[in-house]
Amino acid sequence: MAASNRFINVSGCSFTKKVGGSVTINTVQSVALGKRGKEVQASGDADFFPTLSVTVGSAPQVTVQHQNHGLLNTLDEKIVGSSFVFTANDATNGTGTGAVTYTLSNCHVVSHESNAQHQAVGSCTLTISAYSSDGTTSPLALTIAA
Amino acid sequence: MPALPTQIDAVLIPPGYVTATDPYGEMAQLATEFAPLLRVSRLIKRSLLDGRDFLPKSLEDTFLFPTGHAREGQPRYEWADRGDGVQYGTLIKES
Repeated sequence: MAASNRFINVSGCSFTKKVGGSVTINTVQSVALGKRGKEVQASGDADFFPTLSVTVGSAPQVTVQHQNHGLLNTLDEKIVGSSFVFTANDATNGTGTGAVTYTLSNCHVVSHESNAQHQAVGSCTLTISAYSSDGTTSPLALTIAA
Repeated sequence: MPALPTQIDAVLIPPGYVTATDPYGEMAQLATEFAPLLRVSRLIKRSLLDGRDFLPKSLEDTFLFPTGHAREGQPRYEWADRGDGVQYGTLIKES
């Protein structure tokens, strides 16, 4: 079946540590991926609006919401990884045609927070950033099966 | 026009080359054309700071020699333009 160009669910979410192997992140509720452009603005004198506004860089970041509180210590703020991977499943074909796998190389855990709520399943929010090996190539890669 | 390399280790895609606008459609279009050339079963795409797309053979490959390498910041590939802005790259020997 052709790709639906819509995505439902996330699969294969894992964080590979530089030391200590791969950690599977299960119970994933959502993954938010942003390229996070870095903005620089300038103004002076009596300016009210910036007279200069440019995007000077980009620092991709991923935020994962899951419900496995056992991962809080496994993936804490000191953890440096070689890659973080997840697949956005195609709405009709699952991990087949239409699914896109994202890989964030040179990654590290920025924060991992837990959240408890009244009459709801508590969740964890894992934030991951990455750096580029050469300053030119994005640490974020998209892959699909050819 | 210079001869195109027989060994293709990476491909550079200029902005506007891909007609598909959704992430999967874009990747599928690139995979159909370039996965056989690169001889890979999974096409990998990374963006570069100038807006071009870089299709390496493996996830470890970078456009330039990486930070800390003796040739840091220098090109890792020799590029040959095939005439429509798409460039084929051949890895430069590291020694």
